[in-house]
Amino acid sequence: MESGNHLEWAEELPPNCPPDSAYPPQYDIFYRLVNEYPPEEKDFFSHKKLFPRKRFNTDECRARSISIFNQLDNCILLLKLPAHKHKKVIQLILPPESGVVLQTGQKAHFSWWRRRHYNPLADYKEVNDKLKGE
Amino acid sequence: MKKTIHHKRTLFYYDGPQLFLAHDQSCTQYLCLLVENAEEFDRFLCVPVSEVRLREFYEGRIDLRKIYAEPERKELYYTDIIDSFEGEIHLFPMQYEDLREEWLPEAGFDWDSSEMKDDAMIQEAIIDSEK
Repeated sequence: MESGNHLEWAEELPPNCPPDSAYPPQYDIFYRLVNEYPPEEKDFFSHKKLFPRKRFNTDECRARSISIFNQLDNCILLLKLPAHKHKKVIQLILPPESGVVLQTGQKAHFSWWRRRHYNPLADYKEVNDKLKGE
Repeated sequence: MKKTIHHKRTLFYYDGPQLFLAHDQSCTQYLCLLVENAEEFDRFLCVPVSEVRLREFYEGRIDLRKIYAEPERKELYYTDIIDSFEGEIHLFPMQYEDLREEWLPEAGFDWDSSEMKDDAMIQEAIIDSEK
């Protein structure tokens, strides 16, 4: 795996990142929170990129990934938390060229290291109230 | 009175820790919830929780809002994490009356419905509560 190659990945990654155990998704469905519809590019920035002056409570490689869920319910539950109450849910069907993913933390949580040339803004769906079953 | 706690386990992670469990020197456990994502720090609201209440949470019998809105000891703290979770985390007391609605989770965030549960963690919590 061409780790640390900033020409390949959306963000500059440390050595040995993404981990070898991360794998390309096969059009798997994932969900993520965004600030507004339509989402903006920064909705797909890692927290390390968004808050470069902050020191993170995780390893550098994970801090350079973004979180996605493979269960819609998990993403909707996050909307109940203070830091996410006003956000929106989007669905992504990630093709192999979108990067690599790895299940980390909670069962439905995945870290996603995005490839530089994959544009999620061209490939997302809004998850509206009807889809949420409300 | 200022207190210090140590991070024990991150319970929910999404682009960073959202909810973590910590303990102080006298083994009192605290649930700390991310309430503000600022430019240079993350602010967490921390509440002491008994083993019984923690177990109720893990078993989905009490939701997160109740843990913060109706704390067992009417004791609340906040902390601004500017560094890492390694080492001491300083807690600052806040008056229960000063608790803002926007810092509270909405009703319905319970561990059981989250499907985020980690079987090993639940077992550990049950063992802890039976000690």
